[in-house]
Amino acid sequence: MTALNIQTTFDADETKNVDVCIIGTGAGGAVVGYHLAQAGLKVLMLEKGDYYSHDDIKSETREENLHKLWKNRGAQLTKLPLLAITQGECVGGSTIINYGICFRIPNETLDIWKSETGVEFSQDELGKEYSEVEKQIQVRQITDAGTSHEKLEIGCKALGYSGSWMYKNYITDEGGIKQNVLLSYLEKAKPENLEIYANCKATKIIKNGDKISGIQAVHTNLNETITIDVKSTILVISAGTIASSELLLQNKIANSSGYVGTHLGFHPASSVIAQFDHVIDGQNDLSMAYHCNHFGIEKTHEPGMMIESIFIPPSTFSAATPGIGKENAEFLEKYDHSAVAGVMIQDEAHGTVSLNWSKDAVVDYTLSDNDGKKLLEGLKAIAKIFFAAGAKKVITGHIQKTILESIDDLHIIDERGFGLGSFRTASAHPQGGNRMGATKKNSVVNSNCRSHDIKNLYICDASVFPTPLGVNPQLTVMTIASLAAKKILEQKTDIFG
Amino acid sequence: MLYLVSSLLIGYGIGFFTVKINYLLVIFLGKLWSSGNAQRRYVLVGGIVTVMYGAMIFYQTNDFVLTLVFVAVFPVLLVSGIKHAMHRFNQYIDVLNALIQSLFPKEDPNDDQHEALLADTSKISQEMLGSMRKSQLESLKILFFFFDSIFAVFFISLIKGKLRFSRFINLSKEDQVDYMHIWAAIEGLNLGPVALKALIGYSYYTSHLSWDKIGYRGEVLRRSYIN
Repeated sequence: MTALNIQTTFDADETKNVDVCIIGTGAGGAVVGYHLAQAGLKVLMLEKGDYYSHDDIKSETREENLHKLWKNRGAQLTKLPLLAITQGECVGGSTIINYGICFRIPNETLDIWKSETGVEFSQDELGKEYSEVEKQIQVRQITDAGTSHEKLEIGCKALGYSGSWMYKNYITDEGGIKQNVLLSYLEKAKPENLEIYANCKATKIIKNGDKISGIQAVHTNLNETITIDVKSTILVISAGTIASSELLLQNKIANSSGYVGTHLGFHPASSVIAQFDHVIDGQNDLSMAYHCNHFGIEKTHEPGMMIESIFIPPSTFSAATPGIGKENAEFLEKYDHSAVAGVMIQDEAHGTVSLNWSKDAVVDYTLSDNDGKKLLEGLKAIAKIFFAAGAKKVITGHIQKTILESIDDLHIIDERGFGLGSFRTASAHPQGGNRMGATKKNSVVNSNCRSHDIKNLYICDASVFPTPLGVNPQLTVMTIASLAAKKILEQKTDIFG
Repeated sequence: MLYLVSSLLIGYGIGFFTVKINYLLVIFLGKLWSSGNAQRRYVLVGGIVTVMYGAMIFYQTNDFVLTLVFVAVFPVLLVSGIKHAMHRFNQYIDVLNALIQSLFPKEDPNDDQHEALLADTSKISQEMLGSMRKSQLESLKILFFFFDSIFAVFFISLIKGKLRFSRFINLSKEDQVDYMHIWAAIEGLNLGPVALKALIGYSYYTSHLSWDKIGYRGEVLRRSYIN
């Protein structure tokens, strides 16, 4: 590990000249920044969020941390407020707040990408890159996850559903320390080449002819706004799904295709809580561990759904359970007797990001009927699994209070239907908005994440996915970013002269 | 003179209801979202109404001085009406605090942390609201405004045959909870109370002062660096 070259406060306006400017320090940006800095390029990363060291985070509770680290403190909603979208907003991005689950892209999803937009990755090329990233971030299969997760395994086995313990980027010290790009990439990069400006929001991208010539960022403190002008040979936008599209739309660039801000998918998810007659105390367990892929694309060969066991803190537990006030508090009283699983849909990518009159991003997305049906089936499947594992009561993620006392009550889920606003849904996996493809007729960037319109502009985050992956996306974001960084280096002579 | 007085009163009323109608329209059109540019619409409405009423007074009275007085005073009252309605609109923190108090009443008289817990809940909720995108915060303000209105309290309570003609914040705690439950039980319209409950419940259980009651220790670091 090397010292992080980071600045979080600024006293005066300044101008920086670098080889590469990267907007965003999450899964995509950090990987690109690391590779380019190791190759000797001068890299400046701009991060809108703050920097929290390991000690900062250790000194506070999980809730206090999450409250600070989540974009909009977790209150990021779609236009119709039916979907809560969680993203990280800090140095390290969503890799700081996520559960570190790692999957490779399913072959079937890659085939969809190839047929829809002509994405040009070969399996070998991707496989080799995945292996390198997995080594760097220390991916291993989860073991000894805890009782709350074992309930999903027990139920799946009883019903003959396929499933397994997931892979996660963590080390086994102190019971399992999750890794993130701050630990795996940024702190390992050459500090003389990689500099991070936190609390700096990129606001303006300056285009000169067919190239980006500069970026303007602002740092706002209590008294004044400080401007950072960056001159760079290459710009990499890795602000994350929604924000990357927002930035392109605000600056009216890279959108000759008209596809910027289109084809967003979210992996909308809803949860099921099972109450058991014995103590489970999930707070002692890993946060996410077992998955049932029986209904996933790898088994059904069409976009389906994934079921994953999850531990949720009381704040989220309260929001996920029905009732108001005292009635809701009664569910919290059974908190230590509860196990939770979520169903995540590989949805149709029909969401959009647009700008309102204030030039803020507005995300427009509602579940299609087809996805609603899948979500309903997923909730039923989890209920079955939990009853097979011995649950005494199952509470589904419907808006209307839905409590099943036995397997015979499954019909209640069907009766609830899947209309607008039927479920509590959340998304931790926003994807799309700057889709990748072969030509500017069907996409915003090519398979190397390079803009079709602007030769020194790259977009490296989940916004380039043509359709939702169907599995947790962080590993694929890192892998595609890693490939993009290597392509930039291959073309170094052309780009830098 | 009668024209002048009545028109000025109407000016105040138009100002007040322009704000209300603007937000009610947003709700009734099914879009709990606004661009944050309502003030431009108020200026437009104010300008049109001032010209219309000024023309009407001149037409009725043929008195140029009276019309000039009207044109000078009418916009002031119109703006007062808008300001008053905006003030009501911005009382969402009061509504939020009333909701927190009624949803989490003190049950144990010896619970000396209760007030601190509710203060913490309010603080966390306000921090969340304060960090939302402007357009989404405005949506929630609309929701609070409507939730608190005599209009909503009256019609929602009437569904269960209860006559209530009061703003939410002026109801008794029992009536506040009852009103919330009635609304939450209306399929299709229950997203509003569910959103408010989610915000407040999330904030309440984010506070470490609530954890002893449910046996949560809030230990993160065995799993470390966020999970």
